Amino acid sequence: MGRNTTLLWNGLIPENPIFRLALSMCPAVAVTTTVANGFFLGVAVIFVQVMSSATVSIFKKLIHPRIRIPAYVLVIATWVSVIDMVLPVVSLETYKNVELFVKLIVVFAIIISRLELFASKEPFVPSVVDGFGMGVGFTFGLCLTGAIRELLGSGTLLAGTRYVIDLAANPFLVSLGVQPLLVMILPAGGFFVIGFIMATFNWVEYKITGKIPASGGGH
Amino acid sequence: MRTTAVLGLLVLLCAVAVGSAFGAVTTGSASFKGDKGIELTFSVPVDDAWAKKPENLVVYEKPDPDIRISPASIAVAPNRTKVTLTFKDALNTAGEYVVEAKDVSSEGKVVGSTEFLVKKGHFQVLFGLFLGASLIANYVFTKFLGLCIFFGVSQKKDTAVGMGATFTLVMVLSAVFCWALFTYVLTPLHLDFLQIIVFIGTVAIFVQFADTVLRKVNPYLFKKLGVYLVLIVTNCIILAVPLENVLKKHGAAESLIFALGAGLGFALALFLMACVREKLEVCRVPAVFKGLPIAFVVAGLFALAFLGFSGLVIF
Amino acid sequence: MNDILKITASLTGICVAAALILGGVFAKTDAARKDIERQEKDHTIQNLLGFGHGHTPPADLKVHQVHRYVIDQPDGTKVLGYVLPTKEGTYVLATIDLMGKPQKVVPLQADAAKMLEEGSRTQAVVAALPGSRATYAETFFVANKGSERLAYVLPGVTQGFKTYIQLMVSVDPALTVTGVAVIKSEEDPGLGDEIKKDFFKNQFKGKTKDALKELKVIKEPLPEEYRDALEPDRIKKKNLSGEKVTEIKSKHIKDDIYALTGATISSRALTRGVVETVTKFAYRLAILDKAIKQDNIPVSF
Repeated sequence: MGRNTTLLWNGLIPENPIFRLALSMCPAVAVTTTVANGFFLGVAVIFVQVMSSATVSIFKKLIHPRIRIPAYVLVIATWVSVIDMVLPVVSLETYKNVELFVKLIVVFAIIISRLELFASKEPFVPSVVDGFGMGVGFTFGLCLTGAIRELLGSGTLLAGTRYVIDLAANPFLVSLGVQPLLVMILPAGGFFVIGFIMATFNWVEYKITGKIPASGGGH
Repeated sequence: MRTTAVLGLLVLLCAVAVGSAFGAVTTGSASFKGDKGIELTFSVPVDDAWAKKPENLVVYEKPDPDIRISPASIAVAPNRTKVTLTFKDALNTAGEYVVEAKDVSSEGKVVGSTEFLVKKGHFQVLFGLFLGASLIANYVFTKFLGLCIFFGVSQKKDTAVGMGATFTLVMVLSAVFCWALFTYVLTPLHLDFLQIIVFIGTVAIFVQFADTVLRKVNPYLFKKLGVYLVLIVTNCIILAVPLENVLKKHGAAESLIFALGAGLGFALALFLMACVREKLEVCRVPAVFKGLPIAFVVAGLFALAFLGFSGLVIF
Repeated sequence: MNDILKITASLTGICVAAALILGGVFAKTDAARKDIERQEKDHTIQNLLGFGHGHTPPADLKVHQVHRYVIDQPDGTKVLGYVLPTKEGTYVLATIDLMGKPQKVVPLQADAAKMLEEGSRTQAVVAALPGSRATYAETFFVANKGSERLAYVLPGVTQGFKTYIQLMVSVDPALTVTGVAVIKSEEDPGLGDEIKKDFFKNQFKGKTKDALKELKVIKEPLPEEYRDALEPDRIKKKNLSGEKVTEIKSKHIKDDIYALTGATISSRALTRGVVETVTKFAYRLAILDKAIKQDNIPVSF
């Protein structure tokens, strides 16, 4: 595997921002009542992460080490404002569901931590790949949580996707036809699902490496 | 000399007459009584016969002056300054009603017309806002903001209390400042689209400011709270509250109370969680659930409990 | 010293670059966003009129807007002002006093573009009535097929479980409800939020103006066959014929509104919103139509 592939894979599973690094969990719980919402926010995060990583890695020589945090915040805030203005034009309906969280991407710890740990030291291409990998890992986390919650909570899957991908007939719509578990789309359901997914990740790692990883921290 | 005295007396009489006529206009007040009644307080005792005539009291919702609502019954209190109107259907107590009292009659004399505006008191609105931000729509348990810090700092009770207090302080200060910036600088200049950058900048400045001041003024407190100050910048709530203030068009006092409620709600959540996690330390948790996974499940249970606050109305 | 200069320069650089990028994007997207919002609204209205999802609207369908204002006159009295489009493409303001008596009709100096924006519209209204203060109240829509009125679409607002619920109701010329849409609400997901579901809001369909006055919310389970007939998805899945659906619906037409399980307050709130919106509109429309007839206003609808 080349280095870029490793970087992509890292972001997806071994260093998944939500389940492994436990960073930026707020949106992971909040917007994941459906897959569509999670996917939409995920795309916004990929955009902001890639653009910020690219910007910082290009201009890293010009940014004085003493002001790097405010400089990073300004860069992120700029790209967040851009995506915040573009998204409603793409799909107003879904944007309304995730509006607050699109604005809050500014304070997502995952983005600034990738800038600080990676993009500020590495050249352009690996920075962009790393940013993309992390963004995709984040989107994967949101979609997985969203899928479980939507399937159990509303008894559908990919409902409302015609707003993201135009599927007028909605061929992927899976209706289970059983009474759904209401608690899953209530706020509490998000906490339960993420807790159990994290435990599953731990369990898989235990089966492979024979060790339980420490995940007591939070940051 | 005599003409002046007579004139003076006339002026005085006029003033009294005008005053008594306008007294009813300016000093009457009205409030909701339950969700089906409106209580009017007149500055003068009104006549029973006048008050009991429905056409003398015209009630309508403020945006719909053409659609009158007629009261089902009208009661006059023994001292005759309080009149209670009761309606068949529940009123919309979140809205505003207007009561026009035509030709108010006191002791058999007509003393002029008056208009009452009936709405929820300012204090009630603020208290509702506070309750909403702290319990009903608790940022951690119903909106899932600030989770990074929530899970990171909730291992011990005393750190939880320190973080909660510091956070509330910075929250209130920066929310009020952001509100002022938005209302007096960004809106007049039509620069609304810069709000995200401006707000995050303001928060960062306040954190830095609190850090510097605390370091110089009270080194002891700084030693205890300094660690949390830096963490505050990565807490979503601190940015979400100013954004919501703008979104919901809150005023200055409302912004302040909303921020205070959000901050205290976060502190409460942090404290509750810390209490449980201290106990969890000595529990036998399945190995794969140790640490964060079990903390998430506990938070889920809290979220279920907080759902019970939904729809809570005290006033 | 050198450091300070460097830091200041780079931070200023970032800020200027950020402001330029944002300004550019804002200029590009602002118009598009307003356009999309307008389209969304048109889409909702089309849906309510029954022309969404594969039903193409007839070519001669036209939707006209009527704006209502509350006007404070210089002498301290209040009147209602209706901004009406005319056949010639101009606009007039018809004022009606609170007892329902038509007052006067004045032409407005404004074109269609000015009418779209609330700010410029209000300015035009105030300019037509010097000395008065105008407060915008609401906009309702009249759908015409050729010269015949097809339906009205009315905006409404009601106090929900937590905050306001904004809704829209479409009624036919006889003021029987033909559709309900929830525009904006913050009810609990999974509980009160179900008011947006077809099986709840379609219960209002076919309720006449008089039936609405007596309409109640009952805490009984929704009969299964009625639910089948209310949800288009279920009709398709169970292959119900058109006649069967009509038969079930007519059987239940006199039923009250079946409350959502666990969300009685939200159910009552929406019901109250629909009833009040239609009742108020019925009262006002009768007065407005009388005024239009009496003053011979050449309205376009």
